[in-house]
Amino acid sequence: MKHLIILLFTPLFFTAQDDEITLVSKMDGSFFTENGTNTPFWGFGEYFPGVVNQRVYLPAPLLVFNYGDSVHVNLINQSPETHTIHLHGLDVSQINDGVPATSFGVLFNDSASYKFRANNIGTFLYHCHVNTNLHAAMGMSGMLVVRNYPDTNLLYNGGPSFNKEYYYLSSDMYLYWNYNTTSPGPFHMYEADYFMVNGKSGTQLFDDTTETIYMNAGDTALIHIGNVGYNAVSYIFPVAANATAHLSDGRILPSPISADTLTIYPGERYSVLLTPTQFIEGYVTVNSTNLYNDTTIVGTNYIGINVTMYPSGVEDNKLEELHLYPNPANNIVNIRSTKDSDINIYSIEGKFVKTTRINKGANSIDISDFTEGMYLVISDGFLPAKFIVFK
Amino acid sequence: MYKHLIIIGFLVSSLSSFATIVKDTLYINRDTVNQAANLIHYCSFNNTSTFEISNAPLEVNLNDTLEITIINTDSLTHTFTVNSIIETGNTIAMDDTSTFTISFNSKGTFRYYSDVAYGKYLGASGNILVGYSNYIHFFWNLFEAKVSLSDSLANGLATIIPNYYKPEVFTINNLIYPNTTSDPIGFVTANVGDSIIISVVNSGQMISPFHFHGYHVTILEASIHQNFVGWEKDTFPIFPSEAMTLLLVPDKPGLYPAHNHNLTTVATGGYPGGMITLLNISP
Repeated sequence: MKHLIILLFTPLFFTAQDDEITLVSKMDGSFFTENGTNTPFWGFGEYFPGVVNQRVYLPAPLLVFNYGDSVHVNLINQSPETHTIHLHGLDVSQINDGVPATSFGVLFNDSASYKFRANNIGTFLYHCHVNTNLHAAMGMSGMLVVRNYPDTNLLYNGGPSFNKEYYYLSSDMYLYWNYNTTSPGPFHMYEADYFMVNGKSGTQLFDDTTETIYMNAGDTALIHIGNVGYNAVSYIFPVAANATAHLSDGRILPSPISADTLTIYPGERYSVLLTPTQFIEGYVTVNSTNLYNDTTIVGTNYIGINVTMYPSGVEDNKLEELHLYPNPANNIVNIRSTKDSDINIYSIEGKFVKTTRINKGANSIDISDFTEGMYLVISDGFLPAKFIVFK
Repeated sequence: MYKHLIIIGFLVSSLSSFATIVKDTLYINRDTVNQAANLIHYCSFNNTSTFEISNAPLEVNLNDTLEITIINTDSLTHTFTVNSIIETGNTIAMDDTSTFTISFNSKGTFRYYSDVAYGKYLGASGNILVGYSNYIHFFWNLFEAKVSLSDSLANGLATIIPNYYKPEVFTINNLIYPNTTSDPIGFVTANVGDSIIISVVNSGQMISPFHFHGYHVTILEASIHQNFVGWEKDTFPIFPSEAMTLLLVPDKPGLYPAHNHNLTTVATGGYPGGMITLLNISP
């Protein structure tokens, strides 16, 4: 059960000049902590019309837009409290800022649309700005990326190129609040005791190959890092990864900085390039420290990193990703593919379950007769993908 | 609005390109203030002998000499300290008056403070802005307080901040939002296209990751994060004792929050409260 949140950070890509995504806010999410405890959270999920039980995710879905896009982020609030979306760092107009006192709140069973033009490339956040001190801590936050366009392999026009891309959103929770949602506080007493990257902690993160950085010699990986927690996080890369930060908060730095150890404070983001020149089989250490008069490390996570000595362009570099959502799924799992292909679905025990044809773009697969558990999707030319069936 | 600032402006106006001596006077006062039902002891540098909760900012032109007279109304000895500029021979005995002469040969924000526990830890700390008289400018002095520690410090029962503590009150210029929005020195009110200087010091003991809604700012000077100079950021850490100078050039009108993104600090007296202010930008 502890794997139920695997792949929740599957990115939702958009390529059109006018992009629209509809999110749902709910206060009935649950996730499994590393020790298997079912823990409540509040969150956002992608909204699917006609689905009775919309799901929310920890963290909220990663949103990826192209530079220059005119973006509409719609919010449907299916929770009893008012919520908003604050587009953190995107410098939107006042009405779209997501702060109830200066813009508006989205009431129960109401909906609204936030609009902005993606005028800056880089890494951003979004989170609820209603009682932010509580709602953000409860899990209502996600990462938003604006990538260069149309040269999506360039960090920015005239900038360095990359051929791999990874996203890591650090957060923390004071689990007492999650278990006592009717009487959290006092708010100044927030005491983070659970530390996550992409909603995962400890072995959930390190053992999850979808979170591991895989590179070949000669590759350049773009790493998006954000921190939406209450603590500082220090990302410590292997020195051989040759980590350099090129952007912060959606702006190009005057000159790149070494990012072997990169400390990121609540609300900050960095875009980091890895250009390893030698074999690495190790991990990126993510240490959390509080912001008080103390430097004690209060939490540590590890992200796997594997760099082979194979030259760039070997077969596994040609494998593309299938994007599955929602995940976990109930009766329908959607698969976004870059090409037409046949897929085979196997249970985690290796038992063949289903074969079907998918087309380029979005595909809906009926899984209503699947039993609960984890499944693998295998298809020629694609990396294996996993999804969870949760009834 | 800021009496001493007006005086300084007058003194330098006829000597615009020449170094000059700027004379000013500050009083060290002490009092207790009810902050969102928390009784906090404060020590402040004020323009008069009447206690005011916000420390008075100082302002000089580049290469000016500041001749500052400190009148200590407190019953304890204090100092007037500016790190790396005046660190010795700077004490002011109880009920005494001392005058110090200091020069500033670089632009930016400097922090002045009383370097005794019952001074700096009770808020006796303020901004000195050098070289930006011709800009629209504002002052933010970040501070936090813990009720029991404040009491112990005021009564001589504590002389240090423990490694880990949980303050209850978070302020800008020792004001809690929404009072920050009626603060004449801190509430940013300007127009689209203005070049606005925000002088920031962190007089507290916590790292304050500060977030701007609506805009990015350019970090012009930073006393600790010197690698940040020239960066455009919407969120960045301000370390204890750090002094920063920020440039904001708003590209659109609006009313936008700016706040500490350690979100424990934005609910003093209820959310929204504490270390929040607004930027009020007119077309």
